[in-house]
Amino acid sequence: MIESFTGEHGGFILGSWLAAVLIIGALLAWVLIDGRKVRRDLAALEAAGFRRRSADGENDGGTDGGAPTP
Amino acid sequence: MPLIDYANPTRFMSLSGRILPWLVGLTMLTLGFGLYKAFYMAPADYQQGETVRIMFVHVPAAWLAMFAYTIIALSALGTLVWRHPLADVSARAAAPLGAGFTAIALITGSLWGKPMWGTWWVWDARLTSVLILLLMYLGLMALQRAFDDPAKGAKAGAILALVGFINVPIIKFSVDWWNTLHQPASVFRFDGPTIHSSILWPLVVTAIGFSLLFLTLHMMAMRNEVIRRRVRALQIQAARNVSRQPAGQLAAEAGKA
Repeated sequence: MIESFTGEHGGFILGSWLAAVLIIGALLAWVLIDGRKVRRDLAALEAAGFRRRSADGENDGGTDGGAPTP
Repeated sequence: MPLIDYANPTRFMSLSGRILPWLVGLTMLTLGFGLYKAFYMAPADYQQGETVRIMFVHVPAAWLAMFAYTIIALSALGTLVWRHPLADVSARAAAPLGAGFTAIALITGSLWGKPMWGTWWVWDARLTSVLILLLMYLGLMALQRAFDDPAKGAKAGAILALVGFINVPIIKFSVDWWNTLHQPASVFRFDGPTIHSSILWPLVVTAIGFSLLFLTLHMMAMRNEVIRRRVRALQIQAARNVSRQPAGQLAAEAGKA
């Protein structure tokens, strides 16, 4: 594996995989950070007493934005 | 239970919550095995040498760039024809992922092109149509977020996605229809793959691994989007409650603050 990155065109190979890792890492970070934010917002609203009717009996974080009940 | 019932957002959240840990595990295993095969098992190409290692990320990324847009186009049909709430959720979740994989395909293609073709970029039909795909993704993401009302954004985005889908077959067949510097298809061909099996199988495994990664990220992003819509619905409810309060009560609360 090392010789792939140290050979004549090693810089191009390393650059390609590095770019892929960086972009996929950014996508993963976006999904994780966004997920944490929306779950925090939801928890804050539920703590304030707002719940959807369809959320009764449900404990899995969120669904379809059905009619909420205060 | 009919399959369509699983498209209900509540059931989707429940089902995806159970599937996701398995999908993450399968993705890591497959991608890990694929990378092992790509770097340790696959030989250097007899013409391209070690630069063939770029293919194991470039080709799956290019396939996923088109696959993600196909998902968006199918979701657009779901939005416009059936008005299914999960269809727009799927389209919104897939757009940034598709843009990311398109960017990977363009960057790795450029890094592969320089040592093999002697140039970073040419305006041939394949490269240009993939660049247009990236611009389509960016435009779609901007349009989806340009409306205060998500329903209007969904409709406008779905129309743009369907119109833009014409670019996907153009990308696929550009190397056959026009004279391009980019090589013709070498895996999905009527007469079978032209790649030797020692390189083809590592490519197939890495492609499955990256596809599983895409599905995992898509499912996670869809779950986020569903929760975001629930938050929005509750925020509207909270705002309505505030507006219904008598002015005197609001003034009193403001005074306390």
